Amino acid sequence: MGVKKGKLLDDNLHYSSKPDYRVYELRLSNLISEAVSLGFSAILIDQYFKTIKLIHYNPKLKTLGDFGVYDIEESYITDLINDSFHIPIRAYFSAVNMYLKSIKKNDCFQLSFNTTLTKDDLSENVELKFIPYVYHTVNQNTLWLTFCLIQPTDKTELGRFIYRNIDTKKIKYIVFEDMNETDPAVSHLISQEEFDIINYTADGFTEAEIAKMKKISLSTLRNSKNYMISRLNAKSIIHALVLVRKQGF
Amino acid sequence: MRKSKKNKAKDDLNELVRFTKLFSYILDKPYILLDFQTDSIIYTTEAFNKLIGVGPEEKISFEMFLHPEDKKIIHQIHQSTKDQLIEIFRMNHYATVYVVYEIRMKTADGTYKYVRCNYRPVHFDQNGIPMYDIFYFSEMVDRGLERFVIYSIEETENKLYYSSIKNKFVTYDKIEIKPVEIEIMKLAAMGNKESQICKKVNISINLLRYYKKNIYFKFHVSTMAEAVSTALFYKIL
Repeated sequence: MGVKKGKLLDDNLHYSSKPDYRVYELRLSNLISEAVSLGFSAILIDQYFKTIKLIHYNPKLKTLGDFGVYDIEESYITDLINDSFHIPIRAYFSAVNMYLKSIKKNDCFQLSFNTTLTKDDLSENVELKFIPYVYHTVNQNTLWLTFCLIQPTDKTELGRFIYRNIDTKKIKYIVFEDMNETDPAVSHLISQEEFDIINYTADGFTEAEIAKMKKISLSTLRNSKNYMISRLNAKSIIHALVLVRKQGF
Repeated sequence: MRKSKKNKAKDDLNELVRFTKLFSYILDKPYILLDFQTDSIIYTTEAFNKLIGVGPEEKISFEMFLHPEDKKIIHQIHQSTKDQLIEIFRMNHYATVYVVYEIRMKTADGTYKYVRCNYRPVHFDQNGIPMYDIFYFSEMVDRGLERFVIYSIEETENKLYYSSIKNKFVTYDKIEIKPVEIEIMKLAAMGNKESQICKKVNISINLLRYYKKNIYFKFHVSTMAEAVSTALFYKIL
């Protein structure tokens, strides 16, 4: 009870003028028609008025309640997430807001992570997929609306926080430094190459073998390995491995 | 002032292209963006290009993926749909509407496949007239004979069906195929000629032609072969 779970709404966004709410209405009606025809559930987060709309039409998601479109409080979603997840969830939400805010115009990316929604006896594993939806052009492209798709997934572990650039097709893994009670954790983007090094190490390959497989020199391998370890504030590659595994990867 | 207006229009279009891309990616569906007035293709997503088997740089036209027969029908229907949509949006700028066409589409392997093509207007000018459409394509799960439907979520009579016979959208158009029409299709499917069908069903040639015309209208087709193939698809025969 009374656990502060996370913040979908970002208090640090400031606007010099009110966005055009005609655009909001149009986008909302588009989303609803899309949700009805495709049968998906999502939330639309308005960072200007700090409101959240739940658009729920996915028949597979039972924890979200009845079908329809509702104005909801932030706690409606966060209360569905298990109390034991409150520290990582807060870290995930604040990292999502940080990445969404850092966008440039026409940037196309998606952030996703897994969590479990629980209501009474029901429990569902879902993947939350965030996209920067509409910018407010008057305010130098400040983020205004965020769209978050809620999709059932068979992955049970919390986490797997991934950044996907849709234009370049590059995937980066977002790994936090050790999460603790006091601070929202600091996150780092880990590239596929760096991630492979961790996975190969976990599979028992030696540095020389990994370098051969990745077709890079041993010194390049060591450099990127050490750089990654230092970025994650880890003590060794095994420590980095534990961080990554704990976060669902 | 004029320049800034132009820039805004460009910004709006970029934003639409961006969200077509984003939605295609997160919902894993082939999307395309069209100009509402001219029906020209503005942007196609990678998933769509892959579906119809074209390269990213290739210029895409409707001829490349629409079945020739469907193209004729859609040409006729699409104008009615647009008129109907303009009518709906004139009454309510924020109407929640989507249109479904069941069409045959040429896929990457060269075969035609029935798909559900959903679309909706996404951007409006100051008079509330739609400017762009977003289309996406999905596999057909439940099939009906109502191939061209406008769904309006707020309305109680929330479906409008295209009726070939009336050449407009109507609120209710339950398609019933008469037993005699099924009999005619069955006989045609067995390779009987018109005169043989007349003899077997015991009707005049003019009446047969009248029935055939009705069959074509109901299935939105123009030949008996197409009608039989559509009937087989819908498991009527």
